[in-house]
Amino acid sequence: MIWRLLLLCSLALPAGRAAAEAVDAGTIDAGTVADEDDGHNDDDVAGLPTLARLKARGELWWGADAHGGAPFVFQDPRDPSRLIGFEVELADAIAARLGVRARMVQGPWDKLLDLLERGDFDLALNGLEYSEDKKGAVLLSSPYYVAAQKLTVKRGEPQAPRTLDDVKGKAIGCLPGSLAQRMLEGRGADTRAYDVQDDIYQDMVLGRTLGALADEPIAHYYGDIDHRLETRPERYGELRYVIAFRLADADMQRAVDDAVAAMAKDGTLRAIYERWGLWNPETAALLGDSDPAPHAVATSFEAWRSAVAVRPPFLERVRHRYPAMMPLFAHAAGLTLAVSLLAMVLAVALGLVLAVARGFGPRPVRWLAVGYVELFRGTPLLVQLTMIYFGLPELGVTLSPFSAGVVALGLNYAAAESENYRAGLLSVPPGQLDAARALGLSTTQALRHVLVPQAARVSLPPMTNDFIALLKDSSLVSVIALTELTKLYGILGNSTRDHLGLGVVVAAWYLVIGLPFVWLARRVERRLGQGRRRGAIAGAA
Amino acid sequence: MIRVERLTKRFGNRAPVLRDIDLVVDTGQTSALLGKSGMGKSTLLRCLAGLESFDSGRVVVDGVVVEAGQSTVPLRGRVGVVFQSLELFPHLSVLDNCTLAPRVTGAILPAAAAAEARALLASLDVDEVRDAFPEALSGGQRQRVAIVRALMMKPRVLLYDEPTSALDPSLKAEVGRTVRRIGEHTGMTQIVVTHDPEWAATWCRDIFVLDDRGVTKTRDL
Repeated sequence: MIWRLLLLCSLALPAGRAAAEAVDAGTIDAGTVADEDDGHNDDDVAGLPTLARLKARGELWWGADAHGGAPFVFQDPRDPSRLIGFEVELADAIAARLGVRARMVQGPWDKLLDLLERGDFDLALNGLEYSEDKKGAVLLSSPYYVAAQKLTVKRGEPQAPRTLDDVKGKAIGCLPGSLAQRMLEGRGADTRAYDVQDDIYQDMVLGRTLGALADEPIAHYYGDIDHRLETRPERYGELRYVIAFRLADADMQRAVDDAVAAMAKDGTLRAIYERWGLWNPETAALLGDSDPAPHAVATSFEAWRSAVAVRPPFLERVRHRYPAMMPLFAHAAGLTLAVSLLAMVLAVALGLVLAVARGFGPRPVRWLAVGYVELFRGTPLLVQLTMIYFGLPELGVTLSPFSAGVVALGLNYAAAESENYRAGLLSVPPGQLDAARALGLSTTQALRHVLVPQAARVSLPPMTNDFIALLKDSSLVSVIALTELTKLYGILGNSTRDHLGLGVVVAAWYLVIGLPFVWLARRVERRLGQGRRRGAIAGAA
Repeated sequence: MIRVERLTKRFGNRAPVLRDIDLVVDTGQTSALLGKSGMGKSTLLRCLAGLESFDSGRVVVDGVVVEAGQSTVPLRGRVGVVFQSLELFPHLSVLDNCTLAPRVTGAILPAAAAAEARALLASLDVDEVRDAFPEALSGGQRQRVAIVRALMMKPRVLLYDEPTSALDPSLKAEVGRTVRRIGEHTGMTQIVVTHDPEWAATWCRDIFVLDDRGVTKTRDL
């Protein structure tokens, strides 16, 4: 029976693979790129220097985290299938000057430089702060934007700080590892670091913090739009946003610097920043513009404010916003399902090999199997995933994000599956193996026809449980640049500031893809148990 | 003919369970192997069936010689076993229990296997339960199915391990009749391991006793 189950899984493989190719390595189309299922495959141009390679493929791949939110790179709250932001427009403009199209590659913000190093994209462009200590690891462009730090507080809260000199001992939110965090800690504030910028401001509204210090664009897009909050006029510090390149890509760095300089000169940059309401005196000085006051209407900012400042009523969201997000969710659910299915096939097959090796192999093989199980069961999946994705390239093995996700989840769950099988095999009386052998069956034949079918009866229920757990654990693959369901929820939640409603939607998606397997497993369990039950009924009669 | 020569078997570093055992059983006869529990009767049976390797000596079954240290696999299938706990496969129907081994090992064509199994099941009055699963059968039915399962591999010798333990007298006689019927129908060599001298005297021709001095033939009709 177990073999039939395996066969079933392997039949699902091509379908899963196809789905996986369709969703590919977490690329989200930015601006000019139209074909969604175009993939993200660099095999044809491998070996060329980066600048030559991107020209050969006709696309500039730029790394960013849409989870970071507005106004950098985020899903348009009015049309969530579109990726917008001032950096999207900047990337499009740079790509156009290089004569190619831009394609955004999704990656976690704090891993962007590692992904760049790995070769997942050509450059990282996502509010990266200029700092001397980055310089040993990557090349940095000239700054393209200068942001001040702005303090946002709760309106009418008497305890709230008025200036940065007033934060000592007070709970103030910020982004982890940011200039704001260093400034707050230097002044003795009770610093609260949040991964998601919307959370910084939500927690202040809920009264968990008294203020927030962040880059001006963030304060503008999350603080200024909420009437319960007040952003103070004082400007602190100065933070320069730069683009990062691999150390070997000096020609890329020069080409991009030239493009940015030209766009500063012809007013392209100013137009982008004014549209997004981001034009400020520091950036004017940086770009050599003598006019620090914005003149154009900040249309993109106003669109954002009108879309998210007031959350539409729930029914309205159910009727219009969520249906519009369905293609994105379907995409992410397909990826979650494909990764999970393939990982489970690997786990089930490898787990069986491990359990048999442990139970029937010669002593060294047994030890190896035990060592494997303890190693993979005893260390966090996140560590294994990170090692496989970022560590193996040091040994010359560079897996695609999809393969790395499948391999890491599969290797990890194989340990659990092997223990399931072992429990199942141990539940079969030893006399059954004797009986099979006395009839002339080899050990392999005895396993195949006598032991494993009986073990499956015991192993199947926990296996179903593991598959559901794996489905949920697959959310960890978002750390290696795959946009699956949980990551998409984070991205959309941050860009629409709708965490509750979208939470219900994403939970429904997990149930929709998980429940069929629960149902299938129950059926298989029933069939495995059939002999016994039918027998018992016949016996009673 | 079955011949055991100077067979010694020990588990690990402990004292041998069997020491220098010699045994010769005539072809085509039903013999009993008697002995108190703990004397190693079942271990000797497992050595004959090829389920246990041994430390010295040799086992010869129907011309196949297995020396100490050699693979015991050639004995398997040649020597059928009806285990004390029967060990029917609970996930398979009676018919599948009987046809699994010949099908898997290629001993008989699958179509022929089913027909042959049904004939054997019918000869022991259990053909009507062929589609049932072992759990649904009575103890006696199960035992007869286990015998048919062993016979399907056409063994030269059939070994029974304590087939009458924990049975009341009328059922013991039933087992005896079955064993005798198989001997008469097939002309096969049978060895019944038991600790019941009365039963052995009633249903077996030759009687061997295993004690700490070895095997002694106490009756030779």
